[in-house]
Amino acid sequence: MTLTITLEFSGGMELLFNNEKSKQVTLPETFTPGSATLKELLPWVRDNLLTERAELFMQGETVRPGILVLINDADWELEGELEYVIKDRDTIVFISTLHGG
Amino acid sequence: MCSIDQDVDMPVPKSKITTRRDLLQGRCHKCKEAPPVVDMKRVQYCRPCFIESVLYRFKLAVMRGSKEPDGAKVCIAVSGGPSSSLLLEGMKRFHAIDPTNPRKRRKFSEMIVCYIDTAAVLGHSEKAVEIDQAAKEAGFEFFRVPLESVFLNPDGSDPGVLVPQGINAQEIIQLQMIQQSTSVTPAERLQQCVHALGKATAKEEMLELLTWKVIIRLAKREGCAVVARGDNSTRMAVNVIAQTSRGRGFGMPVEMSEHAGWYKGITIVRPLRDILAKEVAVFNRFEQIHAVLTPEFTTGMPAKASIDRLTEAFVVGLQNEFPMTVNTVVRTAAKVVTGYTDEDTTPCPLCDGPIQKSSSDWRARHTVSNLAAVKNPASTTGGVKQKEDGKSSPCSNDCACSENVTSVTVPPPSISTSCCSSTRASAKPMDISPHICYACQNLCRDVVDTAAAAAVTRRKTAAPLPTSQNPASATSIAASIAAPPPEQQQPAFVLPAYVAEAVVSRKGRDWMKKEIGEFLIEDGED
Repeated sequence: MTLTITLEFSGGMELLFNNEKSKQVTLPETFTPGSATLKELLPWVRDNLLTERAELFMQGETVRPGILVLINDADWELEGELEYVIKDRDTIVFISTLHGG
Repeated sequence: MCSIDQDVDMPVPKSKITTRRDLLQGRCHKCKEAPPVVDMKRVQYCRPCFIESVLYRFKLAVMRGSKEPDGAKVCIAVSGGPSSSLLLEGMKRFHAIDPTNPRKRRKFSEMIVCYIDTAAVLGHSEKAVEIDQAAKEAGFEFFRVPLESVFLNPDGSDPGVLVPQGINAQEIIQLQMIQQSTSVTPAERLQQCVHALGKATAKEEMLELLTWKVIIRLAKREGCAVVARGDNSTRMAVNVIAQTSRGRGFGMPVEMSEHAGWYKGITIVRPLRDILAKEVAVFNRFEQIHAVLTPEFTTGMPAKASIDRLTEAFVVGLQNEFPMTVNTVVRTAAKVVTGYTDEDTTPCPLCDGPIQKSSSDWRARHTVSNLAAVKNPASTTGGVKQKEDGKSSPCSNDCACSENVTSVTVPPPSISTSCCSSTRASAKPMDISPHICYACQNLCRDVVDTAAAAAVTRRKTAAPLPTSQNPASATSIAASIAAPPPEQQQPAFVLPAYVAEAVVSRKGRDWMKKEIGEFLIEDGED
């Protein structure tokens, strides 16, 4: 079984992702359903989907300050941030809250 | 009858009293029922409570910010970004007729939406259409004003442009400006004005202050007593630090205070002053408010691209760790008093902000910008005083006698020699620097040295630098915005003519005040 999730980018984040605002992705086999977390997803997104400027997306292990992450329309701070276990058909939104995107 | 021997049934105290204020694990901190979806400054809200909380703070800021009598007209300044879109939506809801009480009077009589089009400098002219659409949906009248109109008079006539005397940066930063008529279109003048500044910080600042000038102008023209701006709390905290480091500390209360009262006849309200950038983003997501992407000079650039960008990275990084950072900065800055309310504080002709008295003296004391001034220390104390000494008429050098200097066409300096000639125009350069505020002086000192730039270009063509060393070409997004068009590689610095108008009228006022000074009755005299 594989995980299929929807990623959305707005507030200027889409500029780093080839101007795509929404993208449905099927994660590779390495992501085990039930144990794969956001901590694994973020580097995968950076390496596979990001088209420009990795340092504007991530800082260390996590996203850069000023980028808001919503998991199924809920703040990721409430969902355990990087420890959140990805479920099938999740919607993960990245919004840049920085001035000018 | 009671007796102390009698047994009284006392209620046994419960181990823990649950009150309305207690926080329940896994529940919204406000309604205590629904599961929370957002965490703001360690307070967890469910969706309806979050929306209500944002709208409540919005309304509170509008009511507290505008002490105008009811029925004022409001100009909503929008850029199309997330905060602007929330501002527009919030004002729409604020202005809506209360369904439970249709006879309740509205606070404001009318609202207009004003969008300053920066397409001439930043591109993206298609944005205006989307913002127009949003304004129409809100039911407000929409004004799209091109930023370059700042180079024209408010009535649309062309006053010419201020060009500096001299060609290299050393001469330009003396700001000896001559007002000339020109065949260059206003859009090209704007490009010259912005792209002649070397640093991204200066470009951003120049764009910002010209935009603000146009907004105030439009608000006055349309008879608006209130201007609503979409600065959110995070942005305001960034501005406190960024503007202070750019030399605008004296004018900080004008930006930060709820009741600055600086602009005569216009009240500035910032309804989002208690709403964080994160809250703006979440609110827009929940309420499906569509924002137009508004790239800036530094969009997609690293944090060190400009002071604003760097400060933002600093504040946002701190805010991540310490959630009350932004609030503390904004609330502290709102209490700062700098004496800009003194009666004789004058507005800067360029940015309209307050000028701190003797700021040019201060600069002259610790920097050297003019060798002649060092040799003759008496002349460092600012142009105004210098001119007042020993000159009884203002027309010897500065054209205070030409009442309508901005509407006449000025021939090149070689033709006209006297400011009181038949053309009634100033041919001699006027010294702008003593009249503008400290931060605007700093801003104008960022003019690129065209001679040096030309030398660099020559070197580049001989041996091209690797692209990684050139911040402008570091990213394709940034490059398309930040790099001036090829034909504008070495633009000469220009300033809009309204600056000259303000300087001339001020000089005239100073001169007249001096002339009639001995007849004036001072306060406190009988």
